[in-house]
Amino acid sequence: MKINDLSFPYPVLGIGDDILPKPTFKGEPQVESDTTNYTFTVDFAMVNPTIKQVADSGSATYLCEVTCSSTLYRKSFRSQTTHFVIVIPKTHLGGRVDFQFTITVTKSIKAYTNPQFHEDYKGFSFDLEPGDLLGFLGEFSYDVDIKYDKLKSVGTFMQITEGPTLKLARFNLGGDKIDIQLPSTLYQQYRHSIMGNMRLANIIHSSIVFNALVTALLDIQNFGNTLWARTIKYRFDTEATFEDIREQNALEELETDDIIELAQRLLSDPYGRLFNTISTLLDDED
Amino acid sequence: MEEKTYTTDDILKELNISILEFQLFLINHRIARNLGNRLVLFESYRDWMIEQENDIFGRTKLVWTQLGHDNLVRLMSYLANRNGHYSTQSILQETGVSNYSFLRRLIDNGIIDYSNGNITLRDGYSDWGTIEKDKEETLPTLKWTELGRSKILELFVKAKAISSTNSTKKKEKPTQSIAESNAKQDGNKSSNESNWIPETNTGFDNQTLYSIEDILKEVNADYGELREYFIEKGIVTYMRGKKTILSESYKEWYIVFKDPSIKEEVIFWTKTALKNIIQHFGSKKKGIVESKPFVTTPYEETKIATSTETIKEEKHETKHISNSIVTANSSELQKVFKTKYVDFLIEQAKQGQSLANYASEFFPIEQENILYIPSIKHPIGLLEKMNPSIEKDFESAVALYEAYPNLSPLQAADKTFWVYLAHTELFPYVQNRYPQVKQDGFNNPQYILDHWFFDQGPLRHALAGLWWSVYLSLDNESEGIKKYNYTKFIFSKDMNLRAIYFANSQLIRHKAAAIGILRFLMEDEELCSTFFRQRFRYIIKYFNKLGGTRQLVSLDRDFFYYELKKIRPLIMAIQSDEDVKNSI
Repeated sequence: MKINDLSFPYPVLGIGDDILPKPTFKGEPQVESDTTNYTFTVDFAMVNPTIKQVADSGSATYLCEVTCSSTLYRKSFRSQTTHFVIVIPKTHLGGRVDFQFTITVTKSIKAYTNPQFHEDYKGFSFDLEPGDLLGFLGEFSYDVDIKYDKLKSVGTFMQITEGPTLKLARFNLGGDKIDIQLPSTLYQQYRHSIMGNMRLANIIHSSIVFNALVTALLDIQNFGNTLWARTIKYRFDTEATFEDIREQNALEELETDDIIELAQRLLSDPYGRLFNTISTLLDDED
Repeated sequence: MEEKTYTTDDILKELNISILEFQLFLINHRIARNLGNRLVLFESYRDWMIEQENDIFGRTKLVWTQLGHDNLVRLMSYLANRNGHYSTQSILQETGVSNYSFLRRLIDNGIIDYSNGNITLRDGYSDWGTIEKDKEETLPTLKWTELGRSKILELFVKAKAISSTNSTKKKEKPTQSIAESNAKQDGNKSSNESNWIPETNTGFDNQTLYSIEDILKEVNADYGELREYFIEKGIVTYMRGKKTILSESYKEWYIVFKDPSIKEEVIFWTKTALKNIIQHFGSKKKGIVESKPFVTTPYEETKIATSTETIKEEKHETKHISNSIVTANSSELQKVFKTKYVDFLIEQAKQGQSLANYASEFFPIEQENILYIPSIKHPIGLLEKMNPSIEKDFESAVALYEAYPNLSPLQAADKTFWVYLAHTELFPYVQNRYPQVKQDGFNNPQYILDHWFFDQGPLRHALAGLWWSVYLSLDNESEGIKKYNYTKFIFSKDMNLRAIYFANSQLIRHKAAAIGILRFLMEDEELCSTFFRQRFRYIIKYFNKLGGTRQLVSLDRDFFYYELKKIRPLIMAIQSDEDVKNSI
């Protein structure tokens, strides 16, 4: 249920301008993990004395609904305040996890009214039942598979592997990473002479890696659930460096020119690095 | 005159053997079989024992008859001097597993090769069997030697015992074998009942595994030195940070585990590896007398986990994995396919290249594409509990669910786990549950992709669908068999309802909703007797609509139950798909 797309039969805090001011996140949600659990810490700023009083009296609760479609996880967590600390075992979550925060009625409330109602509702009161919403605090998603601490590394979304039966290289987009499969002879050459050599890495990035990335981005709408696509999408949606491209279109709907630009930015200017490497190699020759 | 009888103790004294030797003799020679903690004589030997009144309350006990006594004494004396050769069939009886499980286990352990019904021993196992030509048989067949038979029995009996022990082991003395440890845990039972495992752990090498950090400590070398040695010798072709590419030629040096929590492969090194590495670096470098493995016995592990916080911190990363594998030999751990291999199998099936394999007795797999899951033990005898008849889906589902008590939702969502099971250990079950593959001219790759793979999601998969149906309908507030009441109900309805409308519904993932709705339906026979599918769909639709304005996840099972009671007339009015479509 996408709460902020809904129209309720009574005013709900956080929906449109039913009740103002709207609640907001207090800072970014914090995610920590140890060997067994994820801990999500989330705070909201909410100024609405009536709703706070209802919650304090026990007739409503601050509630977080957590869902994870890959593990069919769906659970609610309650809090007495707008500060949430949610601990979930790692073994219950995989891929994208959605969090939705509400203020939910737990005991029947007769003739609910709120001085901060929009003026259209002034003078009205409502009977509310358990499960009804008093407020929508906010929502966010987190992908437990994405290595957020290593986002800048190309290795988070791409790999080069051996394709023993191949005669020519191919790109496999169906796995967790964009997989550049090389025929055995090329792969052996890559492994022994190229892998780990930074100078040569620049050449590889501007050639096969760039080709594979452009191919993948052109087809990203068909692989939206893969980890590589989710990783790139997260970067695209959140990093300032892609803001101008983001303004043009959503990732899945980018034009070819924008995709070529995006691929170059994701690889930190591979052509520039290629030409620098060539210059250095020429200098070394001299 | 009343026939003379003998207690087991009488026979033990006469033969001068221990109870353990006696019990093993009975099992090994197919006179009795081990049923849980009881010994039961096979049918042909039933007259070897009789029931005799034992006490003033009329309770009885089993004692040996004269016939039983005489035969036992004669047999034991005869067999003591015989170098017996055993047929595969006779060993099957002793292990109590199916032919399929037996062969699969021996193949997986690298003991035999199997082709066209012929078993051949692999290199290193030639003393386990011998080729014999029976009078009636036209082809020579493999007969197992006493050594082979006892090793195989150890493989099965020991695995069975380990899989049945509680994972929360008490601290045992360090020299104690796992078999002894298991026997001790059964200490509250009488000696006649408990020790079905030999007291000495004869020849079963509980494999010791080492992390790379252990090896560095042992040889007092740094990572760079070790890497240089590995690359020079060709043990690895790449080794940097967490990425290591291993050479196939050294596969007895390492075992690759899959750690589901960090979704990475983790390499552990074997004793063979350590021995060779020490030899290269020189044990004198650190004055090593005997290596101290990181993962050895339950005692060793307990010591590591409880000594000091500092140690805990140091071992943080690897301990997570070792906790689970501590009592298990790699052959007892659950295996999965590598993701890449699953992709390869999917591709093969899609292109119709492997369709014939799905009709064969075995599905050919490549052993190098297998990983181990350190936290899950491979269950013994699961195939035998799985019944491919549709009417037995509930029983099969519960058997599967109970066989993996530690399976987490994350692991259960992993296709590599289920695809592995469907192609190996439970292949005969899946094949017989979805038997179209065996029909002449079968040519429907989609059928394979649906039931052996996750093409339509986990709920349509032959095995994952069973597990998830149990998981979602399990009543955690009830105990014992009662917790499966709702599960039994959904399995009594048609499969589409279970796999499509029930398990796929977002509403049902809220356990209170699932239980509240199922309780209402189970209590209302009239409502369920006709148009059940349509009425169930209506209920889901009703709550989905209600969920538009109410946080259903905040509501308990009673809410769902009484809400349905309230709208029962509306549900009863539903009598067609059209009614569902036009409702609400």
